[in-house]
Amino acid sequence: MSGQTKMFGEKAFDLLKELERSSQTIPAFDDDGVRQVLEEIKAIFEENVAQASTYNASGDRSLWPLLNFRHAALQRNKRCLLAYLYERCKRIKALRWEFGPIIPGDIKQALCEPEVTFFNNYSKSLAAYMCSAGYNQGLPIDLTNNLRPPKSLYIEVRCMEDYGKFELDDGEVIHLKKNSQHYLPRAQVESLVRQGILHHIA
Amino acid sequence: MFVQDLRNDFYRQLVGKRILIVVNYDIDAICASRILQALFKYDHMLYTVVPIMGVTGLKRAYGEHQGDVKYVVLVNCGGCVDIVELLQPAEDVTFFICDSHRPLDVCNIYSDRQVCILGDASLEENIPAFETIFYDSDGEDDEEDESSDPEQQHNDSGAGESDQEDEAPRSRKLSRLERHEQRVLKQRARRQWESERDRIMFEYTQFSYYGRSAALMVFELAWKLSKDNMDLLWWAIVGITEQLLLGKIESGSYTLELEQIQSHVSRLTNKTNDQNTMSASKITFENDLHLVLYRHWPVTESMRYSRYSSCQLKLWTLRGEKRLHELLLEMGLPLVHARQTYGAMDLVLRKEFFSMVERLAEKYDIADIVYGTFTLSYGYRSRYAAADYVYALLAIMESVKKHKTPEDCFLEASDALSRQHKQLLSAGIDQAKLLHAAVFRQVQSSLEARQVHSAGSFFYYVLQEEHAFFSYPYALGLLARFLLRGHVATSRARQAPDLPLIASCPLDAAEGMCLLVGVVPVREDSPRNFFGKAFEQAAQKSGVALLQDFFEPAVVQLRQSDLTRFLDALTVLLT
Amino acid sequence: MSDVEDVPETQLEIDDTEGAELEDEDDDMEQITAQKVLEILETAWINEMCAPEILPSQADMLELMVSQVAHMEEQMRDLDKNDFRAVVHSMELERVRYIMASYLRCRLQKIETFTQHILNQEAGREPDDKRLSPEETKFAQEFASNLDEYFHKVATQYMPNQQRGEAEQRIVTPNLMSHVFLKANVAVPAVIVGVDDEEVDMAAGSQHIIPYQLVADLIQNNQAQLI
Repeated sequence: MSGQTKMFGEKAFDLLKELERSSQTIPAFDDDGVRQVLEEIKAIFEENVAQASTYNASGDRSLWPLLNFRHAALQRNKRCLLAYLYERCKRIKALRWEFGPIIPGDIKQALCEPEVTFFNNYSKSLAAYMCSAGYNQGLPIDLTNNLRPPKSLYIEVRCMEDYGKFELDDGEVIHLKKNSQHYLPRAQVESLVRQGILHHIA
Repeated sequence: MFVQDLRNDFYRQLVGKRILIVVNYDIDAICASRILQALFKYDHMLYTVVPIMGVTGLKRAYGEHQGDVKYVVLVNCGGCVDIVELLQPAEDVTFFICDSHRPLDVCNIYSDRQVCILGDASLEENIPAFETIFYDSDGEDDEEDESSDPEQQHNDSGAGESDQEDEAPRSRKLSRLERHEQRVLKQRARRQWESERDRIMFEYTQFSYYGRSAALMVFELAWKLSKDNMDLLWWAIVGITEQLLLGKIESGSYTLELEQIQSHVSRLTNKTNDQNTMSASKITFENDLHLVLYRHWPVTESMRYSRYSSCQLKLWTLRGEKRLHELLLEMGLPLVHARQTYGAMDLVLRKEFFSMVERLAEKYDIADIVYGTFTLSYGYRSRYAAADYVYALLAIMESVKKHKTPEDCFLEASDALSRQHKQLLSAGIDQAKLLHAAVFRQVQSSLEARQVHSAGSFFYYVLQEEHAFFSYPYALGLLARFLLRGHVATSRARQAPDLPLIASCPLDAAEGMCLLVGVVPVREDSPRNFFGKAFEQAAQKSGVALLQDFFEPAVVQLRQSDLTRFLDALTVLLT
Repeated sequence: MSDVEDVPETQLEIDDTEGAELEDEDDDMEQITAQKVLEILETAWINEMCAPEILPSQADMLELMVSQVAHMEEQMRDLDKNDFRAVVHSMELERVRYIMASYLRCRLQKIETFTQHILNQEAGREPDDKRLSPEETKFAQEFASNLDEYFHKVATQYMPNQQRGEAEQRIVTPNLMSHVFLKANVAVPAVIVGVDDEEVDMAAGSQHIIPYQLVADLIQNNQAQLI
């Protein structure tokens, strides 16, 4: 048995709790925790395999509940672990919608290698989908725009950082500088608002 | 060029264009810009708002947006400087100036297209006639380059002579003597004209003062466009109340505007009558007391920290305190109530408070404490006087801290005007309380320590250390005015009420700069301030580098080490 | 839900200049007005938002709408920017664009959640009955393999052999018995509700709360719509 004080599945549950508590962005990938859970699964499995062979050989029925119990613990561990990964996946997907195809550097550090791959693949297939969603018109629909129902054509925004020149569809050039306030077409500045460069004043 | 028909010559010109709105750091300007923004929003016009402080700020802001915008609206800035000369704009850029600072620069006035000043030329005083200040250079092909710019008026004979030498070879054909005589005559006439021009210009620019509130002007535009509403009107009221409270305009001209505003109030109130429930926002005109923030403060505090009541009763002295108690006693206001926040006072007392004070005002020599103003009420609890807004916004605007740039403060003040951001306003009111309490304490200690000195023709007061509040122009101005009144109230000197005061406070210890504010004498009701020009001349005489960057000419910056030399020069100049 | 409520009734007003009829490239297909297209899309969008499972794709209508929007944009370009009509029209376009984007997003979200379930179902359907558009199918497949790859790399490959499989246990299926709000478009007699074959007649325009699965066919036949 691994450890007297620890119950089966505790570590896996911790992983989930931790993720749940840090609600907004993605916490760093818990390499250690994941490894420990995997080790626990392995350990349980090996014990079970060993005892299962005794059981098969001797037909000792008294081992049966123990085997079942171990199996349930193993299943739970696995389920928690995958739930952890799946939840992270969801958040990574949300990143794509929020920040576009490039992950901000500080968040990237919190991801592990396969997660980055996942993000890139996801981003690629989403982009491919959006390109083809315009059908044979050759007009890609940017699904990451128009996230909110439009209330007005223009919105009042405040610039939160020096961004520089920004050109509108009709050729007007706006100089976005920190602390200036602007009234701009909503559709065209939505992504800047989402990135936090502009702040929408209600 | 003056633009009188704002609807056709200003607004219609701008419809559909992209506009840059440059706003000065004052409350009237913030209010005006908010009204303008509301108008532009209705018509889906793209705009950019940039807050600026001083001439350098204006230059920088324009430089950043240069080339992208063709229409620039300057709110409470730029009227008193030659815009074309300062910004060197491209031909197709048009400036609309909505500025309450006076006197306006003559080049702006006589600009034929590029610079449009919003306002009525007939309301402006003593604008020098065109011929008296601009030399008609048509017949004077030889002296063109020194003709048109009054700024170069001190450009004395040196330049003229070199001109002549250039011309010499051409005129050799004529009799030299004749030619010379002619020229001497012409020059004499010219000199005479120039000195006359200098005199006119001096008279014109001698005093700095303020014209109509920019917010009110823009509101009237909104009214003419039928786009006015309660919020816009309230902002206009806040704008003009700022002018009154900071002594920018005479109480007379304030009273004149009141009538106009009242008619707007009743018109808009009737218009919204159908939905007039208790919770709807409502503006009411009423007589109120010149007591700072008294609706949000205990009565005793408010009385003590208000300039007028405090100075009339000398509340910083023991005797004053006694007199205050006497007053409260006679009013029938128990101390227990007077010492708790107004909102927590007994309802009966609260209702009678105004009439109690009014009844005794004459007796206690505080007759002027009553003035007509507007209050805004919305919902069941929120009730604000226009003055509350002004003080709160002032406090917000100057609440600069390490992590809070002046621009942040500006934007916060602008936000606090909207009804949705009530918490900002409440925070501003709290901040304003701190400011007024600090002013009072400073006045008290300075008067006790006799730190207001007389230089014969004016008083001066020098703060030695950087101060959390007084290193900012408006707060220093408030302090200076309170201090002067307090000093006059205690001083025995007969001419004291006729003397102005200069207050100075270090800005930034590291750079050794200090801020200098000049305020007009107590007895003077007119807010005409001659310090702008006087500062300029004293600086010239003493050779002190003066930074007249603010759009208020009576607020300047200079090196702290130069201060004594500068004050000496000023003393000489003013005696 | 809130998304739906926030958008005011959309009425696509077609400029007189561009002709009220939108002709389809296929001659055999009957003419259909842009107004009708929008109506269909709107219903599809609301249904999609409310239904627990993925509904048949309206790719055709979407395609028509995309070209219509492009066409209107073209027209708008000639219009004076400050004309009041221009403002109204561009607002309208924004709304249409939002509906389209929101519709597609909603479908993508379902695909991402129920990936494997949807793919399995699709595999069993006739080509004419497919609910996903080809693009969506491609996206779903990519997504599924992407997710599997990720799980494999991080976790499952380290697990003991017998535990690696069981992928079918991970399939997320929509709860088809969740209740939905619904409005009958036409009178529908004898709808079976509840387990004990209880029947209800729905009058045209009547509204009901009912488990989705019982009325799924009504929605697909456009006899009723979700609200």
